[in-house]
Amino acid sequence: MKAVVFHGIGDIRLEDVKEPRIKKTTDAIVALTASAICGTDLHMVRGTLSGMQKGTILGHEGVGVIEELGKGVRNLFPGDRVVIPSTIGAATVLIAGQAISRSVTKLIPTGPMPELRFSGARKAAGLLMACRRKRHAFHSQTWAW
Amino acid sequence: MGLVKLPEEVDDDQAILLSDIVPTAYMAAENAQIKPGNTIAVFGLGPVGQFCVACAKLFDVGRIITIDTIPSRLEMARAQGAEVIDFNAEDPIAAIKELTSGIGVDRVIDAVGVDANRPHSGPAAKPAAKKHAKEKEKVAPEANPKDGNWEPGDAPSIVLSWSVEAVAKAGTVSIIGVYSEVDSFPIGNAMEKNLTLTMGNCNHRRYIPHLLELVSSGSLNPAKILTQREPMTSVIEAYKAFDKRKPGWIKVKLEPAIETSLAA
Repeated sequence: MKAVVFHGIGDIRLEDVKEPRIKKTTDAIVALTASAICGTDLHMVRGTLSGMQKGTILGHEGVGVIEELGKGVRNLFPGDRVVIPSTIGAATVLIAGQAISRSVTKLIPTGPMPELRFSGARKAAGLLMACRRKRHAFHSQTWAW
Repeated sequence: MGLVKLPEEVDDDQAILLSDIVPTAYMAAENAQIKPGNTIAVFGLGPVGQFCVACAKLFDVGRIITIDTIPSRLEMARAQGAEVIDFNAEDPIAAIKELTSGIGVDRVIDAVGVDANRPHSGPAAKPAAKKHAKEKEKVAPEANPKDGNWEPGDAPSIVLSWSVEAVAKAGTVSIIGVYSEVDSFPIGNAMEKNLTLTMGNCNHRRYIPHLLELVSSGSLNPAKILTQREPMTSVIEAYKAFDKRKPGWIKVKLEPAIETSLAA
């Protein structure tokens, strides 16, 4: 499976990476049919958003089809076509009427704000990667995002 | 809970834009506290800025003034019905004051953030060069530009200054641009003008269901700003083109399966 990998400021490469697997019961693996490049990705490559860890897969936008779901997911089926929100959050408990979910702080291994700021980036990197990666079922070559 | 199921009528071109930038822009417009008939200024006409224009309309904005310098981006905003200002041709603050009888706009959205470039020609160039002289080195000390790529913006806080100058007294500045290490903000001017400041990163999941309704019903068609489609094999080249803000490169969709489909 291929992915764009961050190797340092000004250094990104398309290369082979490991296939994703379900690690937590709330994980999903999505075969991407579309992704995109965001200005936020560029901040990291330009060095204007510090703290990006080497080896992190870049990109945080995705649309695709669910291949596999963890046992803790209650509202979707494998085969569903979905959009992947680019930040980690659930629209369950709102803090002070803001669009920040309290459950976000529970989900991020490095703790509460501001480390959660960009999913698929910085120290929160590992978490959404399972959602970000694509394994295309119909071709021998596979892609990741 | 994070993933959102897509209705059949929403295609991939539309859906990929709901992953990040449309909810981001929608939150910026919501944070701008637009009242029906308000005049708003949007700084920055990249993909998020373009959607700030589109989303401001959903809040019954009266008039939209936009500021950038790249012709294709100004053209797209103009096609959306916004009034456009090229900051390399005019002083954007003087132009906004002129367009609003000296009052300023009711609301401002900063859709630029840390990678802002200052004007290099026109009446705003000299004062901007003086004010933001050493900012870039401070904000991005480890920058590593190569062959014209990965160059940080040369005036990281310029849009924060412009936003506070452009807004009317008791107006609102909504910041959606990303400001990692920037610690300069014109708090004195903001306080003197009784401004409301709103900002933050979007929790996209919070907005996606509502935005899907708008796309399904035809109230919003985000695919209008998708300008490039690239297979994954040329992804690094696509990054470079988008980084250089090449003419016409507004938003890039990547299609992971294209190459392998052709090969099969």
